Amino acid sequence: MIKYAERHSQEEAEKILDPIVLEWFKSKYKKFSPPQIDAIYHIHHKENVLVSSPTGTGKTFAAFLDIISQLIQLYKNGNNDKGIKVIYVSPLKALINDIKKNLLVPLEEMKSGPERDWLSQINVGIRTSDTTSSEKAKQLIKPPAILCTTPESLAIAVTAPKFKENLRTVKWVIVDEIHALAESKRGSYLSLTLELLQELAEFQRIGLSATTAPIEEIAKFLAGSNRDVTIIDARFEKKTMIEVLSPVKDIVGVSETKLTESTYSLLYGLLKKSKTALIFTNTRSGTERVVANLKKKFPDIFTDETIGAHHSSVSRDLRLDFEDKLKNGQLKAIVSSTSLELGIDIGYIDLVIQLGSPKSIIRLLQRVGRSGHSINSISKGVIIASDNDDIVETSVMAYYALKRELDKIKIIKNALDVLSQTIVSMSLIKRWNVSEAYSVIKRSYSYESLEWNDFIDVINYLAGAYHSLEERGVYSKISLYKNGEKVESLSYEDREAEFGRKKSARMIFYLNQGTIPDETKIVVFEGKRPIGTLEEEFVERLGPGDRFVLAGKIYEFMSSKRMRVYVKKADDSKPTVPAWFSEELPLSYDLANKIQAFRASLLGLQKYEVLDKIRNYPADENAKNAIAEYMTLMTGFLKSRKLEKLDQKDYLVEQYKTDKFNLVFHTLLGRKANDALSRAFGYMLSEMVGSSVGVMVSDNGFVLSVDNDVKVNVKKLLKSVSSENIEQILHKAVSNTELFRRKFRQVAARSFMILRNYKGHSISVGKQQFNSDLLVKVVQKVEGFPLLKETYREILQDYMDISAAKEFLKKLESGEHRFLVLEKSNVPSPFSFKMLAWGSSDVILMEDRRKLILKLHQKLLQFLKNKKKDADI
Amino acid sequence: MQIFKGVKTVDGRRAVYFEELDLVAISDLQLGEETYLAEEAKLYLPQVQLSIILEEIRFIKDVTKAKRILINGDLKHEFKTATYQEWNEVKKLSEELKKLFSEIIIIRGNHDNFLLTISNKIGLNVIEEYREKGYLFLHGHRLPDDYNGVQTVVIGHEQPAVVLRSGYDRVKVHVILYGKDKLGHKFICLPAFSPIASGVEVNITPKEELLSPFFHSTVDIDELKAIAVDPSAGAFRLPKVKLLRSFLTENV
Repeated sequence: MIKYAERHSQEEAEKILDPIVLEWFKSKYKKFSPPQIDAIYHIHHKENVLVSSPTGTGKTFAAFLDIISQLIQLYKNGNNDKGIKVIYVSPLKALINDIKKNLLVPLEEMKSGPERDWLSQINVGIRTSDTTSSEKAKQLIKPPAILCTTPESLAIAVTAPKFKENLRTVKWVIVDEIHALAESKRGSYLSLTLELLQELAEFQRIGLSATTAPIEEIAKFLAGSNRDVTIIDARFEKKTMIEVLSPVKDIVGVSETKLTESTYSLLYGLLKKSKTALIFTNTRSGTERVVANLKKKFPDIFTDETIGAHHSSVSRDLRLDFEDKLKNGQLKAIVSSTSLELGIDIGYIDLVIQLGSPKSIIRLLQRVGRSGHSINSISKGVIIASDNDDIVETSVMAYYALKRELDKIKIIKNALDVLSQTIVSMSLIKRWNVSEAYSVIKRSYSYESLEWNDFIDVINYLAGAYHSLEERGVYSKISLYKNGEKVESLSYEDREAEFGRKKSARMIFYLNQGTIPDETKIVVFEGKRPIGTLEEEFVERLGPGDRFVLAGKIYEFMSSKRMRVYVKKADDSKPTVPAWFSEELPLSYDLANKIQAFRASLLGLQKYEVLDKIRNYPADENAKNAIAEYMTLMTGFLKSRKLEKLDQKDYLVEQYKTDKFNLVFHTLLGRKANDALSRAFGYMLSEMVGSSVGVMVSDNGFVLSVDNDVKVNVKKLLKSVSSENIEQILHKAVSNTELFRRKFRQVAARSFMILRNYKGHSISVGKQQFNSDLLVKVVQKVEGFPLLKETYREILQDYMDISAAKEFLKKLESGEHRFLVLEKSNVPSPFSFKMLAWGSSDVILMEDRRKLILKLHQKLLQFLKNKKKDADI
Repeated sequence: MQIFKGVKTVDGRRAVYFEELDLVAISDLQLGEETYLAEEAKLYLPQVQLSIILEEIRFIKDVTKAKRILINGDLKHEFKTATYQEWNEVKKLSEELKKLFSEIIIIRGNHDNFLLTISNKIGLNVIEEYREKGYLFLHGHRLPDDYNGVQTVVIGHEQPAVVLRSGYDRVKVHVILYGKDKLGHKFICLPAFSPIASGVEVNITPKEELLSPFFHSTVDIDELKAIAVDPSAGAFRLPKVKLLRSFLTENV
């Protein structure tokens, strides 16, 4: 059962807390914030509690105040039982160090009263991958009352033969930044680990979340499938102001240089007026660029002392230095990509500046919520847009952010690679009856709907059942038993079988567990200068003469050696190999729908009518003017095609001819849904015309390209993909792609099929330079291999959004949506400019290998004919 | 399809049939590569190689009706030790081969360091090279001591493949290379038989990075022609390697 907390009073909270805690609190603060009051009340009443509120609303204290009060009452009465009472889990090690400091100071201050030495029993310990083994040994003998840890270290702790005994006393588990964990495999892993901890102790679960939605899903993720939980919804407790700014009057006609110039003057003006600003860019390279440019352009204000970049590639020392300066108010601005999204205590920020669209309403609110230090101050944010589409997108985003209509995050379900890890960890704890293990796993909300057969497949995989009999010993990670006898594999009917530990498994688990992919990057050199990195799978595709985009420039591939690729700068001709992996964040589906409706409502109108309709949008005059210009431009284009306006149900398809024939689908659904649709339609197109197809995906739609001499029956193509067959088509369409190989490699590593670390030695990437093509080739020959199933699941459900794509197709089928196909033309619509400018981003190779080979052979013969001399075969 | 007189492809398979000798030749089986990867790289692949190899060999026997089979080196993937466990696949293969062929000739390759010690136990005869009726079979990681009476040289080792590309289309196929060496002998390089071998793209790889010493001395790979062998598309003729190189760079 999920319920929402009723509001309680200041007095109620005061009555609950121990006088020592209350006295201390009152010496520091005037009163509790509303989420603190409710949290104190409901935690005190032994409920599982989810607190969702913006930064600066005292979330951490909300969780800890009552717990410390209860601990005080416990020890006050002379109780001195050992064991850990509270576990605090955070995804960030930096946050863990912060929390320790934030707890130690108050605890120290509370101790200052007479005869309160016993308070030192409430001590705080840290257990992360940085913790030394001597420190861990100390924790074993003298466990801290409060243990601060990461999901990964906790996963090890619950399997540690001796240490886990210290966990039997746990009464509270606090999960911080739970919104960030919920949508990742790390979250799946933690949710299973908490169920294993539940086998050791009965505890209350307390989740702390930034503003997010759907909040009830997060609550279930925290509590597990069948437990009660109370939601303290303080998401909108803080006042928020957001405005979209256009750096120039006329963003359509302006040159790139002028736009950059104006963006920095605007930025300068904003920064001058604020005390300390936090600037978000969407990429790491953008972060560095902004810092460098501000220093260069305005050396009077911006120096190494007053501005810094903060992202995951910045060294730890430098980062900590910035964080300290920030807390002390020495910085004028700090620029971040995503690393400052999460709740590191960053001190006083009075303005958040977002450069370009943050792509989701939730992310916008979370970022803007970083400003305004207390619950009574106002969070202020501005978005500086960079082009037309950006202005439209961010204006709609800001409008709904202020209306509190949030987009939704998705919790990953039934990830089989994470399940593999947990089954290995379970085997280290004891010998399990499979049915019992299954029911423990299904208590996790992330595995609530796990199929029995999938569970058994994973067990069999771990037992080496997919390997030949002789080799099984080497490959297996767990042992299987039936009626006490060792067996090789299980059938789906074996409900009373057992699994248990295999000798080498503990070492493998300790050294290789965790869900964050270990990516092998290949360094790209121009001469002797490293210019960037590429994914291994991408490099496998490159050959001489291939041109590709790296960091905004076009390079030609020359050669590759081991972990290095050598390139030279290419002229401005188009890339031959599209960049298939994007650093950009995908636009959320819900927001995309809102933008689609917004655009449709403004087409067919006069400029002044558009301006009137959008007068309440939180954007400056320049931005509103840009929207009106953009919409009337599109209206003009539609009129030239005899269309007065577009209905909200209409999705345009343009047939645009260049050196290729392009089908431009204006499906404004966000990149994840478009990724699914584009590959499905691309695959069907390839089948229909017998040729490979270029695919370009964006948030606003997708483009399919084929050679001009190919005849395309568009009507037939549009009917070829349905909500019924899309899943099946996508399975075929992705199985031969680099995306698939890359994801499979990661799944294989998470499932311990590839070990990065063995007997304490990390295994050099060079040794594992096993062609990923072959890796996939081999396992595709194995029927029902659970790791393949997981790869498909991750691609279709997490990387793409197949459910959104299906929803769209269903609406097409019911007539709620329709495709509107425009006549062939060599003039593209204004809405398609940005999509087309990108170039294509992946290629769907012809599925029929025989046809593909024959076609290429024909091309080769043609080529030889032109060569004449020496060209016989 | 004829490669030289009396020397033929076997449909789209990575094998060559020699009529005069009534012999089918394959090369680079790399048995046990999965075990090697598991031991050395901690990469635990399910074993699929052997069953596919056996299926292929049965097919080749059916088509050619050859009495003899020659494995032109690297039957086995590299190993540090020669335990029984690791040789199990070799044993299984040899049992099957004995059923199908009246004579089995095994040439030593560079990966076969323990083959000699173990082959006696399994009843296999392993030799450095094989000469008959003007044909010289050797793995190709070393040059032969002499060419007495030799008309045709057959090697493996290089695992040749070719990339074809045009527009969005691109494909990689295994090839048989053939032509003349600088001494005037006919020359054949067999593709890798291992179903999980990816093949070395000979129209991309610079000459100096090729493995076999033949390509650094008596054979100019650019002057060799190729026959693509692909189970779905069959065997089809390709031009000289140098033209396959320019097809990639000029036909963008």
